[in-house]
Amino acid sequence: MLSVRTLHKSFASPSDGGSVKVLDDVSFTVPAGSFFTLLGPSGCGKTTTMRSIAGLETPDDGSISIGGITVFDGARGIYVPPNKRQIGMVFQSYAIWPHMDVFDNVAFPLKVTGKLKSADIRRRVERALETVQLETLGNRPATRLSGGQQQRLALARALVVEPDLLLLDEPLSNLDAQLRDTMRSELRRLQREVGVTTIFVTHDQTEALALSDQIAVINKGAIVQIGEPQSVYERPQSRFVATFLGSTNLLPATLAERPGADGIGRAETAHGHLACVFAEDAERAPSTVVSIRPENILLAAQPVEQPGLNRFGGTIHERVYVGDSVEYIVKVGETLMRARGTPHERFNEGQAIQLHMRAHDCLALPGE
Amino acid sequence: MARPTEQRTASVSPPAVSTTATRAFARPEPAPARRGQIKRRIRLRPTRILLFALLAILLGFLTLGPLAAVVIGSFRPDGLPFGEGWTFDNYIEVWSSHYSWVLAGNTLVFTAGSSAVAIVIALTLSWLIERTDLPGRALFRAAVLMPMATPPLLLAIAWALVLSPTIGIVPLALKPLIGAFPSWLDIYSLPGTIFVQGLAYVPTSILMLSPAIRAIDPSFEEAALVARATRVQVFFRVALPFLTPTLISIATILMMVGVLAFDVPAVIGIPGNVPLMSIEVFRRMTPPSGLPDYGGSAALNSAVFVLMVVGLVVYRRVTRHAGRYATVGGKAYRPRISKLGAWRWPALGLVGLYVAAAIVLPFLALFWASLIPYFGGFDASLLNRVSLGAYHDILTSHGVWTAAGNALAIAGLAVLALLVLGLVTGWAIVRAKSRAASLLLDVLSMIPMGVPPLMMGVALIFLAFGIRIVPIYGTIWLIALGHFIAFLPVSTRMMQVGLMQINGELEEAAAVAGANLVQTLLRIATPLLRPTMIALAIWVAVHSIREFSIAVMLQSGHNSVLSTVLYSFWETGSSSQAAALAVLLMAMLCLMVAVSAYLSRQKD
Repeated sequence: MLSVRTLHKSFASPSDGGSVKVLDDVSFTVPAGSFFTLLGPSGCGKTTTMRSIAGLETPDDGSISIGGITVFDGARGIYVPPNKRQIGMVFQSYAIWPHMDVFDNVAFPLKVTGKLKSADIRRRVERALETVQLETLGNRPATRLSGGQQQRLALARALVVEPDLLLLDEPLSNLDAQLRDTMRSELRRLQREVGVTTIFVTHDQTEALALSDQIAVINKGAIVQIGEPQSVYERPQSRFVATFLGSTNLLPATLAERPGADGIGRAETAHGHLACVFAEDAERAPSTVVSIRPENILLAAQPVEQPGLNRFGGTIHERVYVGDSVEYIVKVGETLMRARGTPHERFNEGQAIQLHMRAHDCLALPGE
Repeated sequence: MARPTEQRTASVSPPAVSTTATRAFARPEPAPARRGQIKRRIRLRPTRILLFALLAILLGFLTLGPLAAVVIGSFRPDGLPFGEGWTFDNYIEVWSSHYSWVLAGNTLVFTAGSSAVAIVIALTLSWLIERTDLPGRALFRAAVLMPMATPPLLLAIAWALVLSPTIGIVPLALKPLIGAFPSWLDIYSLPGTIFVQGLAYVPTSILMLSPAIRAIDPSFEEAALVARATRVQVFFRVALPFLTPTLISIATILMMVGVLAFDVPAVIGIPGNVPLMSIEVFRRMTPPSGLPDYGGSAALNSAVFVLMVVGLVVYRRVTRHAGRYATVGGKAYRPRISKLGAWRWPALGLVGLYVAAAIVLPFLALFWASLIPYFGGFDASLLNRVSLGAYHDILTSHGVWTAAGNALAIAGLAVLALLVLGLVTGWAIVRAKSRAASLLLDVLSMIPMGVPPLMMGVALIFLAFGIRIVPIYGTIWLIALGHFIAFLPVSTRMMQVGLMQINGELEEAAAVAGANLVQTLLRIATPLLRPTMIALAIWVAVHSIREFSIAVMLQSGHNSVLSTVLYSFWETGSSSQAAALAVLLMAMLCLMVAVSAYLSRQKD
């Protein structure tokens, strides 16, 4: 459906006269009907990628095709302007035109083509407003809408033309926390219902994990990992992805034993051997770190003997009660590790403790 | 690298949750706090009320006083506000004459026409400069404002030199080719006055339009573009509606100022026998013999007064809703630049044409006229008679030096007074908690906008005659007062716009931090407004030095200024001296405008 090939773009840097790479060899394909997320910290190039797909920005090189039609090709000098690409877009600010009412905002994309009868326009606008549950607000001035309503309106305006591709630029970031949760599930329901291929830009990992079929993690203008939410979260291939999505403990380590047939190898850490799985590049990397997520550490006062279970001894350094769970900071040797416990079982600060980790939950990553 | 996308917030913003809370903090309930805090809280409100009351009285005296003088004068048999008896005779005399109605009609055409000319040119130019990849736009951004250095008076003289059928450069040059010069190109006509007046209004219009164009959040247009609209549709359906309030307010201001504009009519209208209201008012006030017709001119002015009220109401209605589109919080957007492609050369030609018509041509014409003893078009045979004699005449003339000193003193006084009063009034209007107080001050400060300079001159004569205890008539103080009142609306507006871009919470934070009203104004508002204040100071100085209508009305004795001296040279046929003075004046104003453009330059 959407194919993005080797996009490059750099801006001249005003400070040192050099250039800053905003997009560095960005490539990905999105199958029809799927929900694809560009996730990364601010300034990483995710928005530039989306604006390039929309045609609001021109990359220096590469190509983009939507639904089999090439809309941009740096080498062949092809550039299709935004109004000729079959897309719908929701802007971060929503960009609701304040001089039009709700109906006119949605009708605008249909009116400017000048090909539809006004009865058809009315019918389609009403249907779009129904989809986002704004059907009763058609005559209201656009300035008299709440944040959530503005977001729905922006969605209706993007969807009314039945675009091939829906672009969402951080649409939830302007909403307050509770509304954001509601709109998140609403967005997912809508996308499933309409079945439109969707590109979603966000810096919020929770949104990305909850909504996406596929996530592309971007850092410094380059895609560092693409995959389904679960695989990106559970099997990050780099230190950046492991720390950017969720929280994790990183232990410096060296390779002690290559993975065998079961995929389990051994890494040597300051606290002893760890049975763990290895990320693709980790075996060959000069140094490695082992990533262990806090929720994968089982704390117990007494050692649990079980084959394949790694075990460290430590003391509880700090306990933080966060409601649905308890966060512990555990001192293992000179290292502080984070672990998560249930509210039912309490350990006290200073208490000796055993940390248990399944080999499959320990992931050796390239050190840099 | 920092893309605008990353810093955008909704213009139709989600309700600001914190506003009420912040307000509550700004005026805390009396808690068992430190003594100083409690004292401050009690003092705060009376200070405000006193400030508002004083401002209202001062503004009322400055702006309603002159108006009252004119209106009352129009009902007095002798036409002076402090005269005796009441009568309708002045009105009957003026409006029973058919000629007055011709005047009114012509004046309407003149005003509407010149405003339309100015707005069309200004919109085209500022859009090309702000929003397209026009070659050399940074240069043109400064260049299109340079004509501010060509006051209407000079522009009119220069175009008379270029297009006058008897002595103009173009008609004389074309004579051997086409014989008689086509009469429709005669500058001494109503279309001629409209053209030159419109050209003179362009810089002011651009100054008001450009910020409005830059303030449009580009995502509104991007959204339209993504929604299948063509570039033309994006302009007319999205961008133009955002600019409409600004365009209407520009039109209103130009119409109100233009209705009694006198500089262009004085130079072009009088010799062209174009019947215009301003010329008639001037004639009645300065008859060749006998007493001025105070009553008649007061009655004519009172008709303008009605128009002014209508204009002010329109202006307020339009600008009141302007805030709805404004994005407050000092967001700087990276404007969306569209590529002109093959159109860039025609566009460049268009901008070049304007710069030529508004500054290059006038300057060349004036420069040429200043070098030759008498003016008769451009002719190679005149080249050997070129001399700097006119400059020598001027620079050794005691009158000219006195006039220059007067002009500078008047400009300095006006700048100082307007910086202070403009800031205080603008602040009071923007930050007033009471809507009624804000409205009152706003209306009072806007009134002079509807008082044409010529009428202001007339009104000040009435006042100065009436209040003889202060011997102000015939001094530069009276002209300074006139400039001060005339430029008050623009100053207040500029300060208001500047203040509106500063989030009120910044000042509230200062209040919470323990600053009082004066400290907040001096330490928070003033530094943040520095660019606005510099721009304002230069704007007032330039406009005061080039101002003609008020100065010519109030001229008497030793208070002549550069513009009036220049006009009397021109009127008495000393065209080389007039042109030489004009060239020097232009150079001076150019320098001031250039400094202003440099200080307020946009970083691309």
